[in-house]
This record gives sequence, C-alpha cells and structure tokens, in this order.
Amino acid sequence: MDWLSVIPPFVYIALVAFGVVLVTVAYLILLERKVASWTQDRIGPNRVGPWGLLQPLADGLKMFFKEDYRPGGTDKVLFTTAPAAMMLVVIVAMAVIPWGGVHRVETQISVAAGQDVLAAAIASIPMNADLVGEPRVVEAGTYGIMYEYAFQIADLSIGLLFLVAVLSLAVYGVVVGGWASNNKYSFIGGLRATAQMISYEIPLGLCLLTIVVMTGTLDLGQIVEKQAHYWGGVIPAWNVFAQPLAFLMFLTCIHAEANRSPFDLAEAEQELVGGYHTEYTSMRLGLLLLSEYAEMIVTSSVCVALFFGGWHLPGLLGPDAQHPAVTSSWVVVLLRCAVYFIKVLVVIFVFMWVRWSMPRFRFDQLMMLAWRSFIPLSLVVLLATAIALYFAVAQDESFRSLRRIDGYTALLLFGVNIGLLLGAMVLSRVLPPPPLTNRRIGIPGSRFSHTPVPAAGEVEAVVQTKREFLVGVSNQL
Amino acid sequence: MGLLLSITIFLIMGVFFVFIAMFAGSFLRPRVPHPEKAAVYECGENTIGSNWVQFDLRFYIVALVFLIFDVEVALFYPWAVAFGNAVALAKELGVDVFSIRLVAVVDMLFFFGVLLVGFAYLWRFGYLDWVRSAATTSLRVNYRPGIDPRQEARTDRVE
Repeated sequence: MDWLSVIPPFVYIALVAFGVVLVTVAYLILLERKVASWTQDRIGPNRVGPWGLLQPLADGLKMFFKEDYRPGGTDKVLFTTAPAAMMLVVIVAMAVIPWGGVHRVETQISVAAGQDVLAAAIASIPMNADLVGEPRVVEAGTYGIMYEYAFQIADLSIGLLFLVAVLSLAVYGVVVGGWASNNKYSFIGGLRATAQMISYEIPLGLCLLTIVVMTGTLDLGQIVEKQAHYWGGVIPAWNVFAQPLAFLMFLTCIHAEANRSPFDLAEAEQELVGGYHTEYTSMRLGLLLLSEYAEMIVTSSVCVALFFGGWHLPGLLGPDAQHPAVTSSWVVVLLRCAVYFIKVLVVIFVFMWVRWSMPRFRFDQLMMLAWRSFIPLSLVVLLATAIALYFAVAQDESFRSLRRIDGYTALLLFGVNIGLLLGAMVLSRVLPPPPLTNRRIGIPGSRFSHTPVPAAGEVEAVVQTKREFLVGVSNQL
Repeated sequence: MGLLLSITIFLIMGVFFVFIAMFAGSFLRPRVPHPEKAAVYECGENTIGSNWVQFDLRFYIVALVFLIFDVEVALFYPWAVAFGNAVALAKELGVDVFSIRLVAVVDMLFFFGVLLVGFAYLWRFGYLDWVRSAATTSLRVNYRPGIDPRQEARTDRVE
C-alpha cells in the first residue's frame, strides 16, 4: 500500500481521464449517428448489440483489420506523421481541463524527535500538491497536516494560453496530411482547412480574451472558481450570462476549428471526395476521424469552463465561501467531474444538432463571416468589455478582494453585449452591402437564363453583346 | 518541474496510444499489394500532371493577414491579464484602480487604432473578400457598393 501513495494523484487522474475520453470519443460516433437518425426520422444503427451499443467496437475492429496501404508517390514519413500529430495534439490539450476543482486532504505524519517538522511535511505530500496551514501537533511525534491539489492533470497558471497554442497545432495535421497524400483533392482540402482554421482562430482568441479581461487570469481552474457563486442569490455567475455575444461567436468558431458542419468545407464530399483524408485507409484514417471527435470534446470542455461555470452546480460548492473550489469530500469531487462531463456532452449535442440541421457554407461566405463579421465584432466586444469594466469596478469589498464579477457589472456587460448585437444588426442594414461578385451572364438557350433562345440568325448578335460587355469591364480597370 | 512531469506523462500516454493504434494491427491486417491500389485516387480517371498543383494566391494572402492579427491577439493576452488583475495590482502598488485601468484602456485604444487603419485598408481594397470584385481593386474605378456598374450588361438582350 505504501508504494501506491507515492504515485502523485495526477497520474491517476491522467489515466482515468484518458480512458474516459477515449471511450467517449468512440461512443460519440454512435451518438452522432443516433442524433442523425433522430433528426432525419430514422432508427439508426441497432444491429450490433442492444440499441447498437457495440457499434463503436465493431467500427474499431473494422478499422483495425483493414489493409493499410499507401498510394504511390506519397511522402512516407509525413503521411504517417499527420494523423499521429493530429491525435496527439488534441490529447495533450486535454491536460489542462479543470475537471473537479481542488481536493483538500487531511493526513497525519509521524516525525522523529529533532527533525524539522515543516520539511518532513513537505516531503510527505505528493507531487504538485500544496501544503495548507501549519502542521499541528496531535500527539508527541505525530502531526496533522493538510494539503490540497487541483483535480486536473496539470494545473498550469497559463492554461488558456497553453490550450490555444496546442490547439492551433492541429492545423499542421491537416495541411501536412493533405500535402503528403499526393492527391489533388487532398491538397485542396488541406489548403481550405488551413485557411478556415487560421481565419477562425483570431475571433476565437479574441472571445477568450473577453473572458480573460473579466477574470484577470489564464488559469482555467481559477476562471471556473470565479464563476462559482450567485448573482442576487439566484442566478449562477456563469460568464455566458455576462457575455452572450462572445459565447455565440466562440461556439461558432469552435465549430470551424473542429472542421464540423456547417464549416466542413475541407471534406466537402460532393466536390473533394474526402478532402485531406481522401487517400487514408485503415487506422490512419481512424485516427483522423477520431481526432475530430476528440477535438470536439476538448473545445466543448473549454467552452464549459469559460462560459458555463465548469463543475459549478448548486450543492457542489466547497465550505469556504472565499475558495468554493476547495472541498475535502471525494464524493463532491467525483460529482463535479460528472457535472462537468454532462455539460460537455450537452455542448457536443449542440454540435451534432447543428451538423444535421444546417447546410454547408460556400467558401466565400465562410471567409466573409470570419473576416468581415466576426473579427470586427469580437474586437469591438473586447474593447466594450474593457471600457465597461473601467466604469464598473465592483463596489463590494468582498467582490473586489476575490476579483469576482458582481451582479451590476454582469448586468452592464449583458446590456453592452445586447447593444452591440443590435448595433451590428442595424449597421449591417445601413452599411452598403459588399459588391456583387457573382455576375450573371445570360447564356442563350440555357434553362437558367432569362434570355429566350435566339433564332438561327441571331447568334452572332449575342456573341457581339458579350464581347462588348467584356471589353467594357476591361476598360474600367 | 512537477507540472512539466505531469504533462510529459500525459504526452507519453498519448504517444503510446497512437503508436498502439497504428502499428499493433499491422500483424493482423491483410497485405495484398496491387498496382491499382498504388494509383492516385481521382474518381477513376487517370491522373494528369503533378498532384502538387499551384494553389491560389488568395490562400497566401489569408495566411499573411492572419499572421498580423495573430501577433496582435498574442499581444492582447498579457494586457488582458494585467487589466483584469487591476484591483490586486492597485492594492499592491498603492494606487487607484481607475488610474491603472485608464492607462490600460488608452494604451489598448492606441494599439487598436493602428490596427484598425490596416483593417480598413484591407476592407476597402477587397483583401477580405474571397471573390474579389474588380470594382474594389483600384481607386480609379467609381466604387458603387451593391450596384453592379454594368447592370444593363448582366443579361443579354436579343431584339
């Protein structure tokens, strides 16, 4: 039993989180198909096991036993690296998700006479845990100590920055996979995915910044803890109520980042076959597909941590009002993990719901949404949040010392957000629309043309009109 | 140190999983090479030319503009932390919260203004449009947004 206590808690957390996430990823594919069938009024997979519950196993085995071949002319190293890198990036990003707040443990240590008590206490607590308070004497030679550790794999103080940095590496998987495949479809798919992912990374970062401006920390655990109270005693202080516009933009951006419909242009089946994974087979394809679902889990977890209060639900607060994340009960910690996970699943359900309800964007619409709408709007939201916070420093001393957002500030921010949304709507009506890019040139004889079919002698006249049009355009430049 | 270790352990677990998934099955898989399988997939057509085609310059412009904006976002992070932390910072330095936040907001507005000039330039000259209209590319063209300058030329008329 002694060697078990030597292993620091983050190893257990890592093992469990890893297992749970991988199993969930497998079952998300089943869930996706079930949601699809529910949306389309079908039954969905129900042959393998009861309610199709063994379907992920069957899919996995199929992937496993498929022949794994590479087409000629592919870049051998990069072709294998791309799916591995993509999966790995998403897995590493999971390290900073704050699953269960902070766990406080009370134990007793025995110290020999003459030994330094504090040094012995620090030596006895596991790695990455912090000693709380002074060791107190229970009896001669025995001291009671308290330590606490964050119930997450790595309690990074720059967690949010780490996440953004790691998740932006996912672009490499797509572009390298597309390039190494030696296929035109893959190449174009990879390019499109790159353009899309980098375009949506900017508004994504700016939406994260609105939360950072509010909370003043990049530590995800602390961001969650600051949401763990109530405004006016009733409304949970989740950031989604203070920043609804930022939340909506964030949700859209993570759809684009995960290459999910309606932003799945990289793998638009009708035009690019499979996009960047056209040439992939077997488990390499499996990893590419799994990483999409794993990325959904990670981005949804970030969304929950930033906007939906993470593990926060009534009854799960710790006894200390100053630090509600700290709890000494195992049950509460596990319940918090469950709550967090259920919230993540709800966000993932929204992902699937959107996928089966919305048609795919056209590429120029996608770029326009990012560059002409989301980037200016998120910049303005960030600026407005900063200015609103300048005027609304919390008056209540307890809020000030905890650096929380109080109810009035939240109301102000909510009003600012709604005002900006209405302003953007009005502005988009008032401002001139973008110039027409799809010029319609009537094709005589086409059933989509307004032009009647020219008579036999009139074809020459039609050609002449077209020539005049083209000359006119070129004269203008 | 401990944090680095925990992330490294997680990374090793990830590498292990990816490795197992990709290579463990290679003992169980069939292996039937065939020249047809090595062919590039192009919906059954024979491939013409190199598969690494020249790509559109617009992707390059997107990457270029992204770079500028991403640097900007990266600069915003420390600013945002300092701004959100102004209350604690003020207590530490013994100054008013408002003075710290005022300096921060003005600083950011300045930065913001410089950026907006660039953004306006990109917008006006159509770099933000995927399908660029000829009307935006030059100042010499009378730019009438929303109205196709050649409205009457859009459909052919046969008298």
